[in-house]
Amino acid sequence: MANDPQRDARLRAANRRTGLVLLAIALLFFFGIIASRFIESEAVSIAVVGGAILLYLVVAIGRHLRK
Amino acid sequence: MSSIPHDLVVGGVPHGEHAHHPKGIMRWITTTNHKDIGTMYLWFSFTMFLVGGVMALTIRSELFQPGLQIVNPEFFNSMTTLHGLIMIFGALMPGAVGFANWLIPMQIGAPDMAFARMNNWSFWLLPPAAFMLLLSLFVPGGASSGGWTMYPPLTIQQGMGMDLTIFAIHIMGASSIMGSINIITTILNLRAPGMTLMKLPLFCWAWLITAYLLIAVMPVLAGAVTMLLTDRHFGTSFFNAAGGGDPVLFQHVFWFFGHPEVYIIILPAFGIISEIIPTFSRKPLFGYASMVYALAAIAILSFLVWAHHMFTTGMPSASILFYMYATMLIAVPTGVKVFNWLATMWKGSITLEAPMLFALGFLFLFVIGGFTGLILAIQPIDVQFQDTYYVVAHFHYVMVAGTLFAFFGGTYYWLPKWTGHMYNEKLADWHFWLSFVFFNVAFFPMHFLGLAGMPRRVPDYAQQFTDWNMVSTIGAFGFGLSQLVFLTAVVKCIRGGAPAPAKPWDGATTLEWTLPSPAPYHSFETPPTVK
Repeated sequence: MANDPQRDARLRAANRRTGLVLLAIALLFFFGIIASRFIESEAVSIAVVGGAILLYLVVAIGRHLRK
Repeated sequence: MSSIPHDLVVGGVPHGEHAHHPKGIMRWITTTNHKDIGTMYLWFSFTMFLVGGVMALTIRSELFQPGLQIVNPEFFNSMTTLHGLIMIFGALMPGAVGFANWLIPMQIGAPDMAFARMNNWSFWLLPPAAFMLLLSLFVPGGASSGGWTMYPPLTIQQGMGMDLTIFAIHIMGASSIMGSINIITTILNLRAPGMTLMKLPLFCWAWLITAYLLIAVMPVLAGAVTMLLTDRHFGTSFFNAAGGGDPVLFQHVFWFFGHPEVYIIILPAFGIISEIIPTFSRKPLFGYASMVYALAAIAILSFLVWAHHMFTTGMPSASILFYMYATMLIAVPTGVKVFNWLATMWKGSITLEAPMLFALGFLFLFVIGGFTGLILAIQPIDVQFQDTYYVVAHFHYVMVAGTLFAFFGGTYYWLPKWTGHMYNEKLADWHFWLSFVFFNVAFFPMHFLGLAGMPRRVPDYAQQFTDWNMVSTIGAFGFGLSQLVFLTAVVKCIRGGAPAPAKPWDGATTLEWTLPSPAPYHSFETPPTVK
């Protein structure tokens, strides 16, 4: 396949986008787990973090299963 | 369909060898090539496996007889702690990433990983982290000795060794997250034309799901140890009961990471086994789609069961029942996988080369580990077995006979592609049988010790446990020495041996086998088309 600068640029942009989204999710969980400690009820704090992570997994993995 | 028949692959033959890269040490420091980085990960993993192994042998030497003979109790506890941390974060996880680096780009027809420079960085974060962990042995107060789980309040009170452990975990966690971002991006964006997700080799699927898990749980662990650090040095009281914190909360957060971590370690092994078994059975993998769904189900369920590690901390009956049944539920997708592997072999033309031997060893021993896990899932029984050698036996059957055997099998399977030489089958067979026998000699007696009530993480024990401890120690030394056979087989294969054809295994069908052996430094510069 011949070098196609436009295609390469599109691919690099897509890679950056995917990478940044994943990095944002990782940072969200890092700060989220610390922030959740400031919620008074332990059950609620664990439910919030757990729910968020489950939702992420179901969406992230589930969307690929349909393809 | 799990694999791509060769006649359906168009293009993808590399443009010869374009190995314009620095020579000597600079090649390895500056490399952005996925194969170089994969090799470094694998050697790093093996080195850490030996370091962690020496610690295991120190533990087993002390336990050969009752009484204190070789090390003092504090050092013994440091050994159990570092052994766990090094084996999990230094040996098993980097080993899996090594396989991912080598194979994912070749299996999806990509020229390299999506973020090649970050890939280099991900690897080079690991040696300083490992150095920090080992350095903690030599600082005042010694290394962390609170177990790999790092439960407060003990870890809040320990010396500087604990700080080094926390920083090492931060760095290794950052490395894992970067590696995961790279793997997901590579699989999603760099697949060869025509390779839909449901045509991905199972190894890539296993790693895609593992990488998603890592992105979810490594930040949780990093958050937990950060809070531990601030409790130690900045006057916070997240987990410090003296300041109104809750130490049990740490256990919840830790196991919220810790249980999925078990699957992070085992899923890539499932992927490797799912490549080996069809190849040596000369049949397509049975139930490809159900294998993918089972992987996804295991990953999601792994987040719902963490508190089964904490049955003895006290929790409401409804919670106990939930965690008990949810844990048992994981046996269903795991059973689907085991059934599919067996069905793949059913009426296949099976040959027993070393990769297949390790795959069968994996299957047999992992199922034992799985069943003892089911037993531990039953709360009334778990209360009796908590912190006994039964638990130690259980997780070694999963981690060692599971993941490590899969890594050994995977190494022999892909060595011809990596080195261009066939490995010595006789040596590899010896490696398997010695490992298989000595593994069971080392770890099966631990079930008896646990059932009899011998506690873990204690350097001394009552007289009645002596016999099985002696047997276990002999097995551990045998297992450790068996790995020298592995090292010999690998080094011999790298240095020479019969030339390997592009596809040394009849039944192999994934894209990497369309490349010559050894795989060229740059492969798939032109993406193949998968029909």
